[in-house]
Amino acid sequence: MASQAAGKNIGYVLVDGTEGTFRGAVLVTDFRGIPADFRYTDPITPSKIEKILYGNALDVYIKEELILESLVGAVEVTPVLWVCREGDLLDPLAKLAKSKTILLAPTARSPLDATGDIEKQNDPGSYIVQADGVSAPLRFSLPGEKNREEDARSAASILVEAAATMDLLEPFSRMGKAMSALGEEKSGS
Amino acid sequence: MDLDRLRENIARLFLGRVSVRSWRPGVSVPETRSLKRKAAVRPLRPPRRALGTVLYGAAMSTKIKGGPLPLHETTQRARPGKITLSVLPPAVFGWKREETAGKAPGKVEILRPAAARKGLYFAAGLPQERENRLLFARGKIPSREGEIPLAFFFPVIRDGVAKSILNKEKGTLLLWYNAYSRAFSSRGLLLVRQLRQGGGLEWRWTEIQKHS
Repeated sequence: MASQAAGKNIGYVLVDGTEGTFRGAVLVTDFRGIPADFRYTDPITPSKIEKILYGNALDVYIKEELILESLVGAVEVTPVLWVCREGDLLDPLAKLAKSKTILLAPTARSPLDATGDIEKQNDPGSYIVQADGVSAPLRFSLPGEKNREEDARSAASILVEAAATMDLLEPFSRMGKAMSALGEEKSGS
Repeated sequence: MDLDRLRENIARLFLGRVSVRSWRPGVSVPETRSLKRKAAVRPLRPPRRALGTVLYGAAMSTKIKGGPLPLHETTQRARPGKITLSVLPPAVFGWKREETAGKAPGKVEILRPAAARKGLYFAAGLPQERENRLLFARGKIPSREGEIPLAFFFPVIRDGVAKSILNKEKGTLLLWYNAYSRAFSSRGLLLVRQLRQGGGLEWRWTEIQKHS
């Protein structure tokens, strides 16, 4: 497994729009969670008049076209799997990315029988997977409306392989810390 | 002096000193004001002019002026220099990048895609955090007599760890990996309390048993 996992990467995407300021980051790690590429954007703060004029379309435009497109386009290390945790980013990320894309989230469910087991959920394109033997199963969703079980199994096998050597959700918290640290650095300068 | 003469003298004395004023009953007419207000209608949109069909004939295409939407194509085409009637230098307002706000007053950037900066060196310095998975690991990790397991962290690349710190407040393990390590084999790291006299905390590498 070690030799197979080497050279494979997972790309994590985070776009934050809280408190009226938008910023985003992409962290590509190997299957051990060690960073291979990290990109982040400067914060974008739309003015009050822009918020009024463009309403809800403004969030979508800033998140998808200004931030996501720039981040994904700038990444030099191509991951085998793109992972996001916001539902509204899944489809746009899938359009931009050249690899498989999923939405990944924790669950509070009791573990499934064996590592690698997957279970289809009521939401279309949504599954839970037992990625390793010592954690709660993870929920993942596939983009688009036409979801095939084959795609789900393919994504699950990547998750299981990576979960043997890394914590699959941990990079998100690292990215959050990195973004807030960079924000503090900028405001302090 | 007879009475007629006396009357004549008095009349001469008071001639022109008595004025006669007229008086009409009633007070002045009060001024009437209306409570109605006139609403002034002002357009919120910038004026749009359609030129062509009347002035230039039906064959001319209609030109409509208005505000551009913030799309790449339209914002790039906005040319502030063409406005000639403005007293102040005309400016195109768009999204303001926070880093330029306040530093260059009056200079506002046109909305462009956010530049993605490189930060690999910065990200590589951040530790990975492992949560305690003891709850899920019970029965799957070997236990010994005379000790109580306190925490189990998984997965950890044993040969790749450069530094590790236990965050006692959160009960998590912070891991710094050597980025140049080629090790990919992971194990679990178990923290136990020894019950024997004088025994304290002990860290131990352990495997997960596949079948409990």
